[in-house]
Amino acid sequence: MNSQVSKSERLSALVDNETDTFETRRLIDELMKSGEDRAQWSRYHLIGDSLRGGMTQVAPADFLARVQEGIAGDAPLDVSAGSRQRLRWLKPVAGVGVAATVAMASLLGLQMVTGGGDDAPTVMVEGAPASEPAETEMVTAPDPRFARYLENHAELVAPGSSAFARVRNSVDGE
Amino acid sequence: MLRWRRDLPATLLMLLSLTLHAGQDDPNLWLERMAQSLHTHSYEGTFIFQRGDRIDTVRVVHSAEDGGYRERLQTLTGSAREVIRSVDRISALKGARVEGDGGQQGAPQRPPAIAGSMLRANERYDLKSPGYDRIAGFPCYMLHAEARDGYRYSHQYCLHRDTGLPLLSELIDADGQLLERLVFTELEFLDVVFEESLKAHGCDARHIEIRSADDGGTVTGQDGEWYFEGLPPGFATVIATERVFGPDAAPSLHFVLSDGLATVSVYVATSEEVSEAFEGYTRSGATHAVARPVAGHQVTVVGEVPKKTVEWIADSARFRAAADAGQDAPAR
Repeated sequence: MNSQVSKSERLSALVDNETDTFETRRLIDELMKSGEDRAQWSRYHLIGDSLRGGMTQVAPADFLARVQEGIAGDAPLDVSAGSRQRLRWLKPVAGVGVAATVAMASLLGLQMVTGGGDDAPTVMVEGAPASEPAETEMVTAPDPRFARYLENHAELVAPGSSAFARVRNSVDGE
Repeated sequence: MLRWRRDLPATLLMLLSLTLHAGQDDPNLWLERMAQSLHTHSYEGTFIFQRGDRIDTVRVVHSAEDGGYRERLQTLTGSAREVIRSVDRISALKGARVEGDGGQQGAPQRPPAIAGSMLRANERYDLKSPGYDRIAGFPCYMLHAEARDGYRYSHQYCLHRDTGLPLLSELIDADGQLLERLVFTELEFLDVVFEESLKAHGCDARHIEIRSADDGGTVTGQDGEWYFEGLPPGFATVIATERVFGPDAAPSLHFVLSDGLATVSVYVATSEEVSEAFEGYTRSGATHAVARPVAGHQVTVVGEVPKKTVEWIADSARFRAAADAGQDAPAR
């Protein structure tokens, strides 16, 4: 436990630019070796940046991993192509819809009601029952029948965890 | 001998202390603490919600009141949005009650509040803790629930040491990609929540009020019964009820399925209005949804699980028409 707290404090100091050159180099070495440390480091950055305010976009969650992957790769062009593919894949993930929190669920539900704009979830309508995802037709506007179910499901879920979904269930409707 | 007797209370106290200490680091107990923390604490704070490369910062005032709660949420980044929520005690605690028998055949009835025991029973997650961390200035217990198969996501929490409230919550897919993250940056527990802090600041705030029906709902449609056969491993029905979407809408059946951590809703439109059967799929963050007609009804499955899991669950839905209720003639 002590070592955990100690590591947390050291990472926190790194994020706050409060480490000397030697400690910085040592921590970066440790970061490159430990995925868990990297996750924590990026979390601290996220919190710090958010506290400073004005941020609505962050680097993708696996940004550091991709940088590391790029450094380690022997064929830079191939790595770059792979990264682009992943970025495309991330696009639907970035769309706003419902969340694993009741807080965001409510807010996002509002977005759905008001149209959502770029934040609208991507809906794929299948042409035939057995069609493959690759053959699906992309539609930008969410079907209202999906939207109300997405929103209602999100109402179940409490802040911080989908583990709590079961303790929130309404019967009468909004 | 006398010395032994004199030292006995101190020895027992020490053993008790050791037992308690051991219990404090048991991931299963922490999971149950987390579930209990929901409606028992009032607080005010700011959290960040991240999905993919998008992030929102939200101010929350949460007031626990007589088993239910009221809360005010306001976005601090991007376009200003405000939500006032009010949930009564029955709705808040509904999940903790075992529903009565209502034709929910083929799936065991489980009280939803037993997330911990469900997890232990189905063994679909590896629970472990790397120790303690600090979030929003509070020491918190790190709890990792790693999915053992591809039908669910992994969860990572950091739970407030004194209350079990999740200060950090992350959802991670099988490739280790972060799907969603919620983390408090600032939090204050409140003894008293002033009425003023729960009032809408803007005139366009959205008000959501959730009140429970007295009968607790039913799982039987007007023309037959719905149940699930061969659900994905670890999943079971935890709530089955009836919902009405809007004043003029026909009631829908609503099943909540869970594996202890992941949650999936199944909606069955019982109305005959589904003249144009809808078949489709959507995804947003960690949430997947699939819609398809089953036995002439519209079935929609929504949950924070992979696409293949919502599809499997949709395939598991079975309908037994009222006329066949006494026979084994399910239709799909």
